[in-house]
Amino acid sequence: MEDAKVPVPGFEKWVIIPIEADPRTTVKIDFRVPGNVRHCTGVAFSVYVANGAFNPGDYMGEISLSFNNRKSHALNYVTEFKTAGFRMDFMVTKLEEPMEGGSRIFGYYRSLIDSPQKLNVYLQCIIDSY
Amino acid sequence: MNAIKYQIIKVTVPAQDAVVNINVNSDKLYKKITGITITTPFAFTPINISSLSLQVNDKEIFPDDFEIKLLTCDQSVPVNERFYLLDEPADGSTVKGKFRDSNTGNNTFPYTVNLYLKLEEKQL
Repeated sequence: MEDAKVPVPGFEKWVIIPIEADPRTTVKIDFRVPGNVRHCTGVAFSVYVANGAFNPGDYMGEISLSFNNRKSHALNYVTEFKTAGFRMDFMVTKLEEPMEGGSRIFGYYRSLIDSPQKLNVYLQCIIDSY
Repeated sequence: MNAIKYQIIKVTVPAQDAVVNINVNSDKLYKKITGITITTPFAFTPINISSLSLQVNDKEIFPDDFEIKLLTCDQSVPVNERFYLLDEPADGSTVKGKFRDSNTGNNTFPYTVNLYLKLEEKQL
């Protein structure tokens, strides 16, 4: 996982945004980031589906995230079904997004499957202090 | 010479949906914790949402509900590349956390999860 770390001064903090989506629906995302977050260096997704058969790489949904109270629209991406354990740096999609502490993340998640699903969005953030 | 030690923290999960507290000290002979990886006695399935929270000296490494499937690797990943990199002091640091079992698809209890801390810079 040598490539997973970006040498940005500060401490790393993972911020998790939980999302639940019914089949073929779109869910709004409105999440306030902690006040001490000042940078986002990556994002990873973890999809949980209780029912249904899927193949690795199947598209599970589409996600769109705007940071800093909609000042920047940094992410439009698809979430995929994964079966095996991957190295963390293979799961993290890199971002370089300065963040305003306490700002809101807006966006949506659109389910592309016929089963209910839960998605955790993991934001890899940098904070000044604890 | 940069001596390396792998310190094992064994977490025994007694029952389904159990929450197990972790509270150990890192080896005092080493200065730094440079990585962590996790192994389980069964293959991870996509529906497994067991999670781990972890702090080193009260500094948060993984928050609550951090799924360990993001930290485990399968056999396709070389052993030396399975570690999630850290840069934390060892030297007897307090490693605290909680492991939460959830939907493992595993019917055999108890089972043991191993957390491996990679320690470096032995103090002579």
